[in-house]
Amino acid sequence: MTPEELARQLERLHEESFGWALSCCRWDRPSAEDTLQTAYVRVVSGRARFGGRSAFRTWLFGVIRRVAQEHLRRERTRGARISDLETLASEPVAPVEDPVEGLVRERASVRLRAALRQLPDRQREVLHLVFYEDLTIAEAADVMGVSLGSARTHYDRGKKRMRTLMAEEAIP
Amino acid sequence: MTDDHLEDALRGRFQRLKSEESGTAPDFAVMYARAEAEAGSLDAGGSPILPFARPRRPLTALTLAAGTLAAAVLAGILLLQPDTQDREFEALVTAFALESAGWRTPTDELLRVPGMEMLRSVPTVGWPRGVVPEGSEDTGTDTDVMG
Repeated sequence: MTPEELARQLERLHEESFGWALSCCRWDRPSAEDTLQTAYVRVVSGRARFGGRSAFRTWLFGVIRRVAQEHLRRERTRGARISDLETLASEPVAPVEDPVEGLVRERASVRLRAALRQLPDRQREVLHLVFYEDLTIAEAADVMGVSLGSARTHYDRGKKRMRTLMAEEAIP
Repeated sequence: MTDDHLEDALRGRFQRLKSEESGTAPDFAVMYARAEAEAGSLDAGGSPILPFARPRRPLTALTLAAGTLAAAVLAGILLLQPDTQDREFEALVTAFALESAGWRTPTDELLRVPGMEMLRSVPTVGWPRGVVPEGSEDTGTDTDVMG
């Protein structure tokens, strides 16, 4: 893959990659930006090399996931804790036409993120990859570096947990 | 709620979240340019400079050797260093031993009786050394003379 082609691919997937980085960093925006930047450095420098064994997107998401895990591990070692308040403060606010409708929608998203934060990492990841990034469970398994069977298990458990959380929290 | 309904509901909510987050990503051109710059400034060890981590210096053989040598010297100093308390105790014990060697009980004199030397020597059979009667084939012994 030529550098120009690589840049084109990364640009095409930029929005989705950032969404995935946000999920991996539990919607902590600064961490997600750092993670994506580092992933780009690894890709551009050739430290992470696309071998063509899977789709480029699957591979890139795998790189982002690994970088995010390293980042979170470092943050934990430093004793830094991201409080819910800080996370909520960094929530991106989309421009809205109707303030009431926008408020309701934003509140729903905040609750959805709050529910997702309560899931174990693997369950949250597989649900995000399938429902947000429109990957198949097999592709999600590739990104997560687990077997298809394991990904299916996390997917089913995640859905069940979300059903309970949605019922408890009445997520619209 | 059936499984299909749940999946539809989840998909709808995730897609709403996605549409909300769209357009909030940092500028790609800026990030890519920064990535190119950072990728170009890799150190000799090939480690990238991470934005959230201190760059790691590779451990050279020289650094390792110097570290090992320093540790060995320190261990040697600690092991060979005399323990002051042990030394003091040893001196006290030696002084006590020397003192007690020359000490005599006050009643020692009572045990001295005339002719006690005889009790401490063992009589031997034969002639004293150097006193061999003429004609005798006895060459004598190395034993002491009785009394």
